[in-house]
Amino acid sequence: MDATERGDTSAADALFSALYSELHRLARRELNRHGFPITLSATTLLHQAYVEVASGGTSFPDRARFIGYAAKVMRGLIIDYARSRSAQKRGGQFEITSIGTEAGDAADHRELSQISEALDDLAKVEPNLAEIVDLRFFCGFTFAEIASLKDISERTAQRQWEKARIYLHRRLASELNM
Amino acid sequence: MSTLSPENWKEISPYLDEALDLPEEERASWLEVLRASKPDLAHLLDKLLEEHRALSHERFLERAPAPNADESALRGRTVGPYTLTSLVGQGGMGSVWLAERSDGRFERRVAVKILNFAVTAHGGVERFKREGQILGQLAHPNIAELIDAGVTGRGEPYLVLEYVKGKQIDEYCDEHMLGVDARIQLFLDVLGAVSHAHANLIVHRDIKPPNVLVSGDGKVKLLDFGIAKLLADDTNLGTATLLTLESGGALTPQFAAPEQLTGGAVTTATDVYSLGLLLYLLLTGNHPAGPGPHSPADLLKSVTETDAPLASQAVAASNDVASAERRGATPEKLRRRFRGDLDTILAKALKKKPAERYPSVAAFGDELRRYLAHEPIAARPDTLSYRLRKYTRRHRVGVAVATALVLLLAGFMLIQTMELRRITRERDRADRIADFMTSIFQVSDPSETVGNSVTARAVLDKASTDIETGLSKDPEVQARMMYTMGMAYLNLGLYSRAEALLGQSIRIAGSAGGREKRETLKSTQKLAWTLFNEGRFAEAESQQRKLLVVDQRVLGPEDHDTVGVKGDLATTLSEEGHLAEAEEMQREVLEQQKRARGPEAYFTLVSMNNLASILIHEGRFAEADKLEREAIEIKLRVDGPENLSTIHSMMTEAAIEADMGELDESEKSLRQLLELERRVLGPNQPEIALTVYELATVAAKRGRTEEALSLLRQAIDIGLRPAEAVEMGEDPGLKALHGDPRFAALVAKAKERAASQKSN
Repeated sequence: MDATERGDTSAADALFSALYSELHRLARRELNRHGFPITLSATTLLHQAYVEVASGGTSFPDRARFIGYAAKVMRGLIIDYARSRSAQKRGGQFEITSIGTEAGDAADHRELSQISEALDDLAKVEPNLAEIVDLRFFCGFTFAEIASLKDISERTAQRQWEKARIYLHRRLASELNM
Repeated sequence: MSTLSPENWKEISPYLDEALDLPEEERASWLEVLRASKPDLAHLLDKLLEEHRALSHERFLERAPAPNADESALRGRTVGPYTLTSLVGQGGMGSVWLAERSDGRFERRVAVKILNFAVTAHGGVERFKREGQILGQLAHPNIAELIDAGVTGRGEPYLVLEYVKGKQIDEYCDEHMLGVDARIQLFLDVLGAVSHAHANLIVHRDIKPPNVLVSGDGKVKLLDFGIAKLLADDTNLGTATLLTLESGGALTPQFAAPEQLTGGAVTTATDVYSLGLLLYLLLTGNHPAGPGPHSPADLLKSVTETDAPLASQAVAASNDVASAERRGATPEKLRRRFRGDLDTILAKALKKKPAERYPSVAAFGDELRRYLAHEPIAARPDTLSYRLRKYTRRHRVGVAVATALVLLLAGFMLIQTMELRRITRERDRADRIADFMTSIFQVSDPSETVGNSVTARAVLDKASTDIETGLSKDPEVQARMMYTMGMAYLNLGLYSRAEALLGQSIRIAGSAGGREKRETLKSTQKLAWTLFNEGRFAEAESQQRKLLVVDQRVLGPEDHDTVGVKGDLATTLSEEGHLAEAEEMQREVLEQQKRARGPEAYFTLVSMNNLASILIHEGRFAEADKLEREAIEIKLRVDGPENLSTIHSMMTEAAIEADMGELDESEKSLRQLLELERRVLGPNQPEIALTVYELATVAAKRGRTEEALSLLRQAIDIGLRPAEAVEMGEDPGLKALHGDPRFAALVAKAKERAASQKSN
């Protein structure tokens, strides 16, 4: 994590893929434990990932920073699953559609990818807003949870969410030549 | 419409913040002011805000089942006669607002809960209002009043509730550092409220700490009564399982009863379960699944499969000093406090099967009041009923004669001696007996012999077949022999054969005019005891009661056999759960034995053992423990350690230790016992199998799966009694092994053995 903060891109890439496989592993473990398709909550997975990663001795500055980062990783994971699900149509026993995560319900991975790209743009302008969208849209956190994670008021969290939606809506609408 | 450039965005961003913070209706005038100084910016902002309204309407990025009321748009809105003033809370299901009456008629502040979905089903609006009115009639000082219910113009259902200012009950208890009794007292208020609702046929369905508040002056208020039902009925949520609602916040899987997760019927027993969880949390500080976070999968498993660890074990395991301090105790003190009654009460409330829980919230409350008043509780310790049956069986078998083989030989020797005396007077008769005896030892069928030696079992089988015809000319002797053989089968655990022989013996003796002879009465006692061993308690009880009356008349109330029947009856009653009567009777037996035989006599000690068993049934561990230790002390002094009855007492003591959670001590006792048994009894005796079995349960409780499985295998190989073998799969002491295929295989093997033993 320290390396990431210094802006070392390759370290960030390594962290991203490490987290990605960690989340993947957790999800798979949950599924194997049951042997039938279940619905997993992204929120739960993230919390679990934090507990496992933190107890593994890796040092993170704090939980908020970890979750914020992991939420971005989760976005990638969800889109990948949406993609593989549409590829398999049937037999895709793997679902990370969390209730409360609207993203999971959006079946079309192309739409999710578009949102993701727009979000990357937003992150360049106002990274705070983008993180809120990751937490809420892709990971299903409530405003109250986001507020306590980021140490802002719930009202601020909600306002930032509205602002982000305005940005994304406009950005996506323009793509569709509206 | 074009994408905003980063520069555009940076310029407009602070203005957007400002605009979004304003109530909807103030935005227009605010824009007007801005338009004067920065017309372009105001124009863009206007367009963006309009777009915001549109995207909110189409629920952009929030594709939940129904229109999610845009919170900022709700502020200042009126709902019925109320104006929403400030947002108090928000969850997946909707938002809660503080509100005031718009018409100013009352000063009263209320909470308005606006739900996040539309009532669209046919007749839904009407039904929602109607049910709301029913709930509104729930008037109880500990239930937050439901003032009104309705549906907004946009189709969102809303509830107007009494505004309660208070803390969650668990936080309240911790902040005030309430001790165990004070927590139970407060919890009794919760039970009172739920009981009132149940009397009005309303089930809460979602009892959890956030729904149970305590005001500053210590008054309990329950929120959201019946609302879960209201929601379930009027939306399709009713068909969804709770798990799929996980972060939706409608119902909390953590506090759900198993039947709520598995789609079973939701009844008042569902509330009993959630209340049990709440009390568990208040007392131990933790959810039975342990401290979070939990994945939905873990929770599902925890709620539907895993029994909650005993409260005493939970506090011992977490050893949380700070948490114990908030209860004015140490972890060790809490462990001792919970062990016994509170463990039992919580386990009963938290049963997976609704029918096994307290039958009502009122019964749950009565039990806790009995506990607070130091009266005996009604619930029987869960893990014990099974294990106790084992104790009793053990002792009884011990009372009769040590092992089947010894009895078999002794029985024949007894008869021989008895008959030899007569032979001198009646040669004819002696010849008949001699012939019979010779014939039964002439087992020529090779399948009935093992190697060159005749097995005792083969002899017994042949004898019991032959006796029906062989001695028919001498019914007195025939009846006596049948009794002896019946006893041999009883001790071998072959109950149907024992029952047949004892019954026949009684009939033959009766028709020969010996109905009220001591021997016949003894046979009747043993027949009743056979029925007890087969689990036919009601039949056993009825026979024993009749026999007791006859014995008292014919033999006298202080006669040894009469006292023996009374002791048997006490054991049967205890098994049936009539504990008060059983205890009274067993205490009489103990006194009679002491008078007749002295305080250190064998039968006195047996009575002490049996009384201890009843006390355990009643959850009075300390008294039972004291009695059992007293008995062991006497036995060690009188008989020495290498004695069968001492061994039996030590077995009971080890099992009590195991049930009290003292696993170290129990394991130590069991290992000592095993060594003793091997030395005294020789290999492959049922006692040894049971001790090995007990060691397996201790290993299982400690999570040493491999060891537990290997011990069980040994026990089965040595030879468990059918009763233990058949119930092995349900033994709560082996719960840790459930789900392991190797355990299932062992259960099957044990059953197979038991079946072959029974059918023989």
